Amino acid sequence: MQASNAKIVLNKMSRVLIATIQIALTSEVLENFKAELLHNIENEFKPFLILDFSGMDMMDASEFENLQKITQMAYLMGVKSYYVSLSPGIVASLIQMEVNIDKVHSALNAEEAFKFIECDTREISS
Amino acid sequence: MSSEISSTEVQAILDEYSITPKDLKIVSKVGKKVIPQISKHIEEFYVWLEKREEWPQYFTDPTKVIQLKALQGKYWEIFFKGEVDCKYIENRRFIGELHAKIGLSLPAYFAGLTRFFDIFASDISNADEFCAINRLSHMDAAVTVESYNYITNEKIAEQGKAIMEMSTPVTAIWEGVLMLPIVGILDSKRAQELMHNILMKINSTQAKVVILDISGVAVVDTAVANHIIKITKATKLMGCICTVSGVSPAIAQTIVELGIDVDSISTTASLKDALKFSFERVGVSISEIKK
Repeated sequence: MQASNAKIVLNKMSRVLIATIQIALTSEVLENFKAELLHNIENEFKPFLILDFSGMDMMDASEFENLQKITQMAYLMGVKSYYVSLSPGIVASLIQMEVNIDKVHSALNAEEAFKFIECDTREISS
Repeated sequence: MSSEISSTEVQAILDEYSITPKDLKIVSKVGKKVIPQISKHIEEFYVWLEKREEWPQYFTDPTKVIQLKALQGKYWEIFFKGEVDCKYIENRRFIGELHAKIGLSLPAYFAGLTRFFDIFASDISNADEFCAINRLSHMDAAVTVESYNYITNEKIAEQGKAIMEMSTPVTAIWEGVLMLPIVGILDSKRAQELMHNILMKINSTQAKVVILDISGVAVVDTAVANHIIKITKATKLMGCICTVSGVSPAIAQTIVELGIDVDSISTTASLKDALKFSFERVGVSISEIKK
């Protein structure tokens, strides 16, 4: 049983939001995350979001798809999301379950994601 | 077999072959006639064995033959004692393991067993004795064969594992660059194994680029192409860039004719191009040495 106050932590940096995911993505957790994220984007716009999965060993297809819906919403509001540190187990199971990942941008780790963000920023400014 | 055997299991085996204490008593009674002459019987057995085709393979070393004769003497001593306990079963299992390890075939084992009974025939005087010995020897053979099979299956499983490992050679060819040459037939089991191995390797080496060389794949059809696409998608989800190299004209034609959507993956004709592209991605350049 998870504590009822378990939530996805959202860290704010100058241009990037970092969401650290370490708990099972129940509908309640996702609902709270969605509200917090979208509210944040509206109030204090940041163009990038990093979702850090390094604390997760298991995830099912519906959890991933629901999370993808949220990042899609963020995308519509102008935020590009990077999924980082997905474990081999999660990746293999998502692929086996034929989850559509065409719209997902991923990176090996947070450092890589920052490099991509740097590139993206340069592209936008040039 | 390494598992220990309990006395209830021994009883279960005895019940399986309907061996009663009376049978065991009869066997030990026959044993009193057989055991004093056992070395003579074994010599007689070896006269027969020398003519067999296994002889040059297993029995050329004279000291080994002496050892074997002693072991066979022990085998029959235990048999004709008529006391089936945990030790007895363990000994029979050990004999099965031994035969499996040296690769002596089961038909050869049974032929030897039958030969011994022909030799003992002169000491068996009535049907009861024959039945008792027959039952016990069948039980012996069953226990031996069971452990023989166990070892053989273990060997096969080990070989399968070795082949699987050999068939998925993921190698780091540069810092951050992994290479996986696929050779032979790509079925779903192998594809799964490949995917698992490559993802684990990406995780441990934190590689940024993966090259999947398919020039050695025998046949590319819809299923195989799908497996390859799945692997590239998985590496992408890990945050890697995947390049499929070695796309021959034949493979390119097949893929297009089959109408497989390959827009999502980057492909090159030769491994050279894939290497060039990969090195660029990790910030390495290759240049010729000017002499």
